[in-house]
Amino acid sequence: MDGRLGTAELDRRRIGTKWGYFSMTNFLRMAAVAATAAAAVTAAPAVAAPVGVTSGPKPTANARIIKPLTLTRVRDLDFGTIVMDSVPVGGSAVSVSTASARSCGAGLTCSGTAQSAQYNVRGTNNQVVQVFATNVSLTGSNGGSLTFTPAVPGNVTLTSSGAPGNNFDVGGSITVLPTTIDGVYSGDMEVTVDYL
Amino acid sequence: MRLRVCLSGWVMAAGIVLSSPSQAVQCRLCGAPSNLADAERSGTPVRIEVQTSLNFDRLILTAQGGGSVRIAPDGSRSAKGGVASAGSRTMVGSVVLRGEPHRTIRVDLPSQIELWGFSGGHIAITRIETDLPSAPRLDANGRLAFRFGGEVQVDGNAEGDYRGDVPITVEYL
Repeated sequence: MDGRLGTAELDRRRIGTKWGYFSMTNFLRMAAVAATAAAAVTAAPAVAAPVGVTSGPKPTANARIIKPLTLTRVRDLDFGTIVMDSVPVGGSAVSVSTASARSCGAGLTCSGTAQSAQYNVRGTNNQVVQVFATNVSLTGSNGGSLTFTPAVPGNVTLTSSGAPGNNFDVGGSITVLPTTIDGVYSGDMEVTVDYL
Repeated sequence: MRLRVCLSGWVMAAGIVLSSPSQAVQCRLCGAPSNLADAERSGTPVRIEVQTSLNFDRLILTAQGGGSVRIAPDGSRSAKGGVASAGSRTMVGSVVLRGEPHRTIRVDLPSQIELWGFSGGHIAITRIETDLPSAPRLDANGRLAFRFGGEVQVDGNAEGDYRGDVPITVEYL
């Protein structure tokens, strides 16, 4: 060869040069693709990383800590004096409301001061307390008995923690029959409270 | 030239391995066991659905020293010290996990959480318990339900309503 290149040979060298250049470009491109793919894998925490709650309510823990309730008598319930004039056969009722208002049934005459019973309840501030009471039997001083039906208030919302607490009243009613023995009737009321 | 082609081929293979979501394709190319996590092979992320939260309901302080109340994952209750569990609305926490069927997963719950009082102060749940098996796995429907309880410590001065978050995280193994 005389050092001059034929057409065919010159073309091969050009091609060779182009191929080499092209290959390096491809290498760089591939490296870039690999880096992109690696980054994509790393940047997919929704699948690969630990996940928490992404929708809906989150798990919580709740507790309500309260003081025990204490219930104390403030005053007793009193129907006053009831005179049996001409009590109907079916009986006649006397009731005292929680506001100490007395209602006297037919055939009866009521006098004296009537008042509801009053209690004091203490517990945890802002908590709602339910009041319960059951019927009790009042025993007459001269014998006999009367059934006392209590009337309790609705729920009581405490406005303090501990003292001074909240007072509430309990009323009730009795039914006097023509056969009721006169005398002084008394008994213990059964009142309980609980947090709602 | 041979070296150049070889390098190009390696880069191309690496690019396919890293960008492929399929284990089968990956193994045909590399001929070696996969080192990728299952999550990277899966297109279904695991989800957490909270059914109920843990609720100690009413805890009555019966002594100044305070005490603790435990609710087991089965709902049973026990109390120690000067505190009693009195509520009828006590509930264990219950969670449903959904994801790829038959996948083993890891469930992480905190060992302790703080409950903050609406009127200030805080109390602590010092132990969280679950009824998860030792190796939790989603069933054929891609579902796993579990319940959790805990033990709350109450000091003698605590009073009022308390609430705290229970961060739960889940991942495929």
